[in-house]
Amino acid sequence: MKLGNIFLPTAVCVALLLGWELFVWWAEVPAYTLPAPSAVIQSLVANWSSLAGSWWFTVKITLSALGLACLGGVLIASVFALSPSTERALFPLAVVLQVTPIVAVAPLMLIYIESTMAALLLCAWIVAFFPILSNTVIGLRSIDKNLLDLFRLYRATPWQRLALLRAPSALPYFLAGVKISGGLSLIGAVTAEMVAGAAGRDTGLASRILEASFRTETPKMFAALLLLVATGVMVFLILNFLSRKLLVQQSSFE
Amino acid sequence: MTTRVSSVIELDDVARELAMIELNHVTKRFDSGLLALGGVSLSVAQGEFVTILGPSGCGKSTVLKLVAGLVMPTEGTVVSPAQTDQTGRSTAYVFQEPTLLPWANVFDNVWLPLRLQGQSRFDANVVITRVLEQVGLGEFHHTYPAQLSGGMKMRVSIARALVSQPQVLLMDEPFAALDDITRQRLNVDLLKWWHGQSMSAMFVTHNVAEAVFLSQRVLVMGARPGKVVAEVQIEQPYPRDVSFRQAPVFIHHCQTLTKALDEASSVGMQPR
Repeated sequence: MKLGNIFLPTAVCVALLLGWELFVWWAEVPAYTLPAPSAVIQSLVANWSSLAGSWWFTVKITLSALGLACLGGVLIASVFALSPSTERALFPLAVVLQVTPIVAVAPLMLIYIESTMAALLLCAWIVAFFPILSNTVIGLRSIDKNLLDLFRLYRATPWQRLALLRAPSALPYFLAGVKISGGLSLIGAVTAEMVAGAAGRDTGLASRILEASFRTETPKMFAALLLLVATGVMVFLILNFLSRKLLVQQSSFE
Repeated sequence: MTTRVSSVIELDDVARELAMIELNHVTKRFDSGLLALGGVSLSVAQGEFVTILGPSGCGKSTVLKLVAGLVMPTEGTVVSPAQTDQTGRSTAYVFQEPTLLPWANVFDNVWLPLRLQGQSRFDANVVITRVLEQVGLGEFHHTYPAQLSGGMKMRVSIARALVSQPQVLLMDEPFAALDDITRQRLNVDLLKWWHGQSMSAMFVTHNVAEAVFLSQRVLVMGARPGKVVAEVQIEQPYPRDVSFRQAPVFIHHCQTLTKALDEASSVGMQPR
């Protein structure tokens, strides 16, 4: 069972890559149309110095946006939970931010914000914060009314109520939001950079992809894409691991 | 109304003197306009076990919440330890659901009342261990609620109520969701845990046999608006065990109360 869980997907991947490699070799597809996996790896190694720097830049934007989304989402959710009228006033705004396609907003951000990095961060943040916000709001709302009564009966202080009841009650909801936001912040970061189309040293993988596409360096495009995919999968795995660790008592037995 | 069921408007003078809990002509109207209680008077003496028996929606739970100070009366007065208590030690409440913290193990759940009063896990260890032993969960300190059966969860909930050694123990249909065998076993055990502590107990149920088995006094409540319509003394000494359920006096009380409950329920059915 366990072996099958790992073996099957690996076998499928290997078979796909092998088929791709053989097809390119057999049909003699030129590398600028479709590079073979081996050519992509070669390009990754050859361009490692420029790709690694860009990869680090994208990772920085993604993780900072995710961190700020956690912070902002939780803060705003707490304000909403404390004051329903604030929520009524501001929630539509949050929805507007959420539903507006980031590709359409990014050019405006780049006009109004001088630092490209700050604009990219803001775009990624806008995409990422909403799932955390809405999930945490639901989490803070779904607290057992009887437990709230119990805390009142035992004269709990507001701080005790937050630390011992509200925060742990909302945690599973918050973590579900973070798992969604992890992928979204990477998407936001890459999308915004695609729009910014910035060249130069301090740029991310999206710029490498654009640059390589102008020069029809297709293998390099694939190499950058490979790094993006790897980053997304890594973020997903890390968040999954963290949330499993944090929810070990609650999730595994219910 | 039968002769065996006395009127409760006149409070027993002896009970009044020793009263731990007193409600005088309490009415409660909720914000929705619903009149939940229409003039309830009752008293519970120190160390007494009183059950409130009534149909669904008669305001039984509201009475307990008033005693706990979680709800304020619209009219009338409520006197109970929770009203003046600053420490939060005087009163414990057991809900129909176990109402445990799912992220905390059994030990930490029972620790909660003491923790909220500033006791460290280390300081509370002796008393928590003793209470868990008492409710038959000595082996389950590190088990999480989701791994326990319904009856065991309820034992944890009661252990949490007992751990702060309250003066008043309020129980709102705690065994209603359990199967009958578990319920009967918990009834026997509950009397053991309550007996020998000078704690007043108020127990809410709509189960007649449970009311008779547990209490010294049963108050029957009618609905719309909720008020006490009958009172029955159960003069069987404690400790009571399973054999009490077969005794003629038990069956007699059950019949009396079933009749009173029936009358109380039909009042609510009449158009107003």
